[in-house]
Amino acid sequence: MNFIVRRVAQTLFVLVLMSFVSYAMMALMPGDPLDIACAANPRCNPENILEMKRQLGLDRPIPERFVKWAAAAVQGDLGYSRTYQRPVTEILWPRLLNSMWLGLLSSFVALVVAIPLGILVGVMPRKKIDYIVNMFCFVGVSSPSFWLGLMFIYLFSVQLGWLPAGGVQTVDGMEDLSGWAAVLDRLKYMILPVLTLTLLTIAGWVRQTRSAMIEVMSMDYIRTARAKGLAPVQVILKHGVRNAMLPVVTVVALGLSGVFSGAVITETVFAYNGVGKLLYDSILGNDYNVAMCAFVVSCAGVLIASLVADLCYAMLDPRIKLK
Amino acid sequence: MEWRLIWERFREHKAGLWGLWAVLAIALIAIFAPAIGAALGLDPYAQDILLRYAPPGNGHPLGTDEAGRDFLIRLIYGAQVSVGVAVLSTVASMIVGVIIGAIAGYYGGLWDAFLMRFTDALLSLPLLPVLILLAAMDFAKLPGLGLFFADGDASLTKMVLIFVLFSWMTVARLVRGQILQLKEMEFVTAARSLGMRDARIILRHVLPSVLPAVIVAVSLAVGQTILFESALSFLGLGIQPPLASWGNMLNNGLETLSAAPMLVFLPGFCILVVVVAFNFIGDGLQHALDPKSVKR
Repeated sequence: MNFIVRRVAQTLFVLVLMSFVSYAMMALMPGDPLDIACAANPRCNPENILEMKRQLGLDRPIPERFVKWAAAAVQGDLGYSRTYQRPVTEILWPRLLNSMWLGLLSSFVALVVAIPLGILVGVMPRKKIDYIVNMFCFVGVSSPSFWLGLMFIYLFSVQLGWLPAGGVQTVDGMEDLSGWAAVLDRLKYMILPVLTLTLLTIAGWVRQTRSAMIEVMSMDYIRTARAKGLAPVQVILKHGVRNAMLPVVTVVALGLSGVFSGAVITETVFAYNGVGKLLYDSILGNDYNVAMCAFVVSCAGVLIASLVADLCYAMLDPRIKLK
Repeated sequence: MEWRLIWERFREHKAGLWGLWAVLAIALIAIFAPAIGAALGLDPYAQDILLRYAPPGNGHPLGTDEAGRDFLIRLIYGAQVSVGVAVLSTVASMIVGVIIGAIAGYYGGLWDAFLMRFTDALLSLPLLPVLILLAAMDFAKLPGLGLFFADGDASLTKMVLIFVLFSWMTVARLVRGQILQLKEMEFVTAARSLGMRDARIILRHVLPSVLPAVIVAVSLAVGQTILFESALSFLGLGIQPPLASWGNMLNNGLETLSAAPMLVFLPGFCILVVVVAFNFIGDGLQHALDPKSVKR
């Protein structure tokens, strides 16, 4: 229990620290909203800006402003978006849901493909299939995701015209769609982003699973299991996989961070309205209230995922005591 | 370990050797980019608005981009920036990592606790969002740093700085772990009893044993840095035009895709080749430097 409490406290501390640092960094971004507003108004002069800043409390030191922001945020008031002209909470929730669907689907696909494949090549290293899979993984972990996405768009949208190039759902005639038709429509828009995300994740996870399997299969207890006459399948599944999964679980749990934090690049390439794209758009658009929240949500996603990874590891490995 | 021996073992690793040749070839092209440009009579910054998306031929071997600039020479100059930024920042971050790791590991105690908490905190951050945030910052607004970020190539300095700030942690942990073990060894005690200063013990007796692991980590990190730089530049937050990097050449990718798909394919393919090459080198070095590793 002690371990869990300490780990949770540590996560919260890093999160608060991170929010503060990012809050301070936002002040260093180019393009002050007030300056922008002023530049659009010919009757505005520098004294007006100073007066406005004083009224809005923007002349206060950054720590003081941060405390005010955080206090409001904890109570559910995340501020107002400059570009969307709506409260941030209203914008954030649908984006979060979109990102979660994308993340869950791609993690699921990656998991179903990567783990069995990794086990397969892990038990037969240096065979032809191992070389082929290894080669694919090398290319997978080395390819820039945005380029992969663009290539898929070119192939499947521009050339073949099978799938939409970007977006979340069909905008025209959405009213007519309901139930399964709406779900299928959204799935159609998710195929390419999921393909891009999974290819990269699969490559990484297969490599992890493979090396874990190779290491475990060289252990003495595997030889013992074989020596006492167990069927090869049983040796692999009961003695090999169970032990090899330990490090893999951590990597997979860490990979799940994308479920909450969104995938900035993939979402941007496919114009998929998730948290990642929101973060990018709001930073470019000087929409600091939105950028702050999207950033903190992204950080929280990753921190929670690594917390889950640590807890999983501690629970699965009896050698690590939770006490 | 002796260099000849390392080279012999590295040569056994075919993929590593291929990676090395590929990186050397690209490095040569990047270094001689101005000479190549002069020989072909091409200028990476000369625009010709009337000649946007020109097909290959007619003085432009690979055609022109969205501003009518020659594509081939931009690709070559892009190698300079993309590989240069990555190699420079990785080497710099390696030095930072070695210093921090050595201090933490050798002195232990409070130093160790403080430095390693800091390292862990940085490691636990989501890299891409943090990099995006940092890249979007206007560094000239930072007090005291304005001078360095005032000129036209500010985005180069900024990228290197950002990557140094966020990639020293792996090396630091690696070095610390190794030094923790090594400092209990007899030869370190012997050196200390001879009255050597700490800095000399670390540099002469401890670091050489740590170096192999660091070199492997660094060669793998170069690939990662190239990927991150290209992603930031693709998003428009990294290397700023008119400078060409393989990432920012894809900045208009979606628009270019229908006009001239080759212009989207090639920069990304270059990134892929270089990153694969660096990863192969890392694999090969691991094989060459780690006596326990078995040839795959």
